[in-house]
Amino acid sequence: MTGPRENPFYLLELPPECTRADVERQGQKLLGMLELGLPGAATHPTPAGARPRDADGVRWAMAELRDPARRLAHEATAQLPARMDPGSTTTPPSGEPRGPAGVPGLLMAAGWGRAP
Amino acid sequence: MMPWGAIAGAVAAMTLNKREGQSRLPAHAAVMWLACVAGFIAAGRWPSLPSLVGSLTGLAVCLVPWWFARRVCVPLGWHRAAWYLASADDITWTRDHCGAGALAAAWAVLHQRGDRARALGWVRDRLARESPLRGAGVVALGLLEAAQGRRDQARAWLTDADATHELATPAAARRLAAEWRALDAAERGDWDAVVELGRSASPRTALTRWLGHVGERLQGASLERRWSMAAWWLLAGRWRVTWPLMRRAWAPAAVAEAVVAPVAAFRPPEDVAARTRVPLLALAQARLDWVSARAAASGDDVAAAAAAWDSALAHPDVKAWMHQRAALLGVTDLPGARAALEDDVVERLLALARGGSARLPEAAEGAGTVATRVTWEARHALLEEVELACEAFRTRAEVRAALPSPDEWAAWLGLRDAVDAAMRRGGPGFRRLAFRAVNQSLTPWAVWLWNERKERPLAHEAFRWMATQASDAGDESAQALHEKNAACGI
Repeated sequence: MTGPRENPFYLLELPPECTRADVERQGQKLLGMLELGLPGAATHPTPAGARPRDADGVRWAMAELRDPARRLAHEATAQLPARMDPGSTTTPPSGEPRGPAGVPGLLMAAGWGRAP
Repeated sequence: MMPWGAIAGAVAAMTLNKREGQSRLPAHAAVMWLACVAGFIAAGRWPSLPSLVGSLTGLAVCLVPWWFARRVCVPLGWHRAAWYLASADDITWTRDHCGAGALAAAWAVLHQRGDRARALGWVRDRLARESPLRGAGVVALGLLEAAQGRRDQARAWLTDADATHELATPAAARRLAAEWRALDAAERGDWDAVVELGRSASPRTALTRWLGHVGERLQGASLERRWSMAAWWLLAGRWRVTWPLMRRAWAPAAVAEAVVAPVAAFRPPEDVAARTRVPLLALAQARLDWVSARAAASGDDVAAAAAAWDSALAHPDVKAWMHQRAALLGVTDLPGARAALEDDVVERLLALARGGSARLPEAAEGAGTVATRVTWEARHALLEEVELACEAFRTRAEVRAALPSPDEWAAWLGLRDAVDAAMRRGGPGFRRLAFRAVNQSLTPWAVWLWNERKERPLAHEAFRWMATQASDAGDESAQALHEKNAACGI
């Protein structure tokens, strides 16, 4: 199942100002597409790039958006536009320092065993 | 002809009749050999040349069994012979003979090709019968892990062996453990660790010292240091293997420029005001997504994201937007909806804070609800983990559920590393809080180990570690108690 960490608006590919009817229509459409195994339904865009999508996730998203209080919370965390490629804003490069390179195979060469 | 079989039998019988783990193989062998040769000469019979050469070889094996174990049995992968010879040594290993045997046997297993399962099982079975386990046995357990390809675990065991008290770990075991760790660190390019191992005042092999010098050169030590590096290289031997690294460190341009990737800083999305309806919420969301995408989120990153959410949720524009949306959606309980949003954000931030190994976020003075909750809930969860882990030791001590020596060491290592990591992550305030739980649970366990199970090396380690923890936590009475316990010896 697509985890509850997903934002239902991104998962259903709907804007936060969509109506309740939009939610139901889009949800049913995606469920049908997933059942038929259409390739476009298997992933969805988020601000951090494409994420997988499945039928359980779609049902969970529809249920979340039916509850007005939950929907308001999700609207607040669906402000950024979604995209299929991971954007530079959300995928920072690693800040790991890199020093002089190591010496592969030194342990065995120095007499501490051999490959089994 | 000389009765070599009888001589060997007598030597073995005398050797097996050892007391307090002391082997007397070299002395017994030498005395028996000399007595027999003298007897034959006195009787006017000269031993034949082949039997003399054979007996001299046997005598050499008996005199320096560790040398034969290390130079012959280990490279050939003869784990049983390595065990018996190494455990009979009295020159290199003046104590912990069983551990010496286990270490040599584990080292021999490392040299075996093909299926090592039987040999591993044999060494493990023998080790499990030994109690208490001392430092050389701990090194052996590390090498057994390495023989199974589990380098991280091997590293943890060998680090522990090097950190144990000198009475628990013979100098030879300490040297070998450090050499393995230095070579392993050099393989991984962890030159800081290599330098630290090479500089240590503890016993080290020449190879470890040389690697330490190499690490210093590669990290920018002056060219003058090359001569002491060369001296250690000559002493270390294994020149063919180490020559490429020696040449690399010797070259004037050896010092690699430390390439440090720029530490990424958060960049707000472009045109956020124009492209989003509630820019403050969009910025808070962008920061949260940015932290989530980091390989290892630091406590500061998480704290900054929490602060961004606090300031967004407290802003009048966001409050107005929430009122407006709540009215449109028909939300009757706006505070409840706001709390649900806070819960979602806190849950995501907590997952980030707890997931990594970085220091936990700390809320600044006067921080908002999200930052404060993340700070305290992360510490609370970490404290619960520590309490639960320590409680298991206390319960085991209460019901007298003893584990075999290697398993007891493994359990201790796992707990100590987990608590150390938790203490580092939690900071000073957490340390004081967590130490109470550690002290209450581990003291009965360590006392039980010492008094009843006679696992003194392990109990000693536990007391020493708790004394350090007590000192860091500022608990003077506990520190005095554990120092007194540790002073009881091994």
